[in-house]
Amino acid sequence: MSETKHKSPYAVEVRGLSRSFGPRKILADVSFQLKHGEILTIMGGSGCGKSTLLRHIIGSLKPDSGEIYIDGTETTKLDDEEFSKVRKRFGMLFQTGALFNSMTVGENVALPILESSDVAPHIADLVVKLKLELVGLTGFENLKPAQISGGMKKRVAMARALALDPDLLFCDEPTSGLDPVMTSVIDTLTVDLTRKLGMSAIVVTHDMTSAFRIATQMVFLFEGRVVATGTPEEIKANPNPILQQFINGYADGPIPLKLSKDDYLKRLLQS
Amino acid sequence: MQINERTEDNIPIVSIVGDIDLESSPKLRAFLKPKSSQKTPRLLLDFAQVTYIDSSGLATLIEYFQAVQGFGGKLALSSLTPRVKNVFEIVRLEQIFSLHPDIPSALAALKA
Repeated sequence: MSETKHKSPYAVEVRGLSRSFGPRKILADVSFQLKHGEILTIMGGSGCGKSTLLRHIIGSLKPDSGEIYIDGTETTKLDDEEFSKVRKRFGMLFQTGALFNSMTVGENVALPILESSDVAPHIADLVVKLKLELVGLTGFENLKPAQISGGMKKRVAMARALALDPDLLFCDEPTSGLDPVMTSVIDTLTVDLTRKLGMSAIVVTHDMTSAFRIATQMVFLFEGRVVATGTPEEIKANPNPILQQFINGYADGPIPLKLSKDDYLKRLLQS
Repeated sequence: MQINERTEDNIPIVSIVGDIDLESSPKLRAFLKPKSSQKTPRLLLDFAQVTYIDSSGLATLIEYFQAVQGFGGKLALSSLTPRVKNVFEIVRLEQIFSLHPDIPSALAALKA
């Protein structure tokens, strides 16, 4: 999070992003912007395209059409080598944590530091301690991932995502599997890093409590399309029935279950 | 990053200019190493022109502070910008480092 001058008013800008896998359209004309120092939450039900969208932004997937800009640089056109320079500026927390099971917690957190610099091992160890304290895991550095809970693994992954003090943090379901107290700790940390240090963050979540606690901007996806964008207040006040069903967690509403009851019975009886 | 040193009342005042980050923190570490091996009794780090410090910079200061505690020395930091101070506070380092608003108050603390 160095004090470099920004090239664009937006940390991330997505324009008209579309992507299909085979005949299935996963993302359809998705557009939004994230200003520097703000937190944007991408919300939506399972399978709505949230994680796929995030994978496009971090360069793991290429879109069929549309553009992505990270601080004004169009990353969709960059080759792997060019993108690796952009990647140094951001941290990524994967949905599964993606820790290396053969390494200790401390080694997992130290990995990005040791890979990207010639920093002395003692300095890296101290940075690991600072990062583990941020996520409430002081003293856990010598344990292996198999020896800690799923929620702890998630927090270790958060510590690793923050190891290089990123300008930009991407989190895929950072609070899933965490208890309410730890969810609050991670939420507060994300907010503090943006407000106090100027980091920007995109957080994919379907945890509405967490989303409304941290977001300055929200994007709601449904079947790969942006259904609503706005501040948390604007999203709460948006009368879109799909959005309201989702944020209030109603079982009944316009969001279809995988198949309607009638479809299910018809299909069951088809010979 | 640049490091400039002067002495006032037998206390080294070290002014750091620029970003203390992964690239530059080894330079600060190399500067501080002789200070700890010589058991410099009092040291003032002037942060007035530090534009940014990352975790490797904080770790470098912690390492020096560990050494200072070992030989019973004193370390004070002065004139941190609000943003740099936030970096210390987010990991609660303001609780272990002696942070001062300006050089005179840091010098006074070192002489006390």
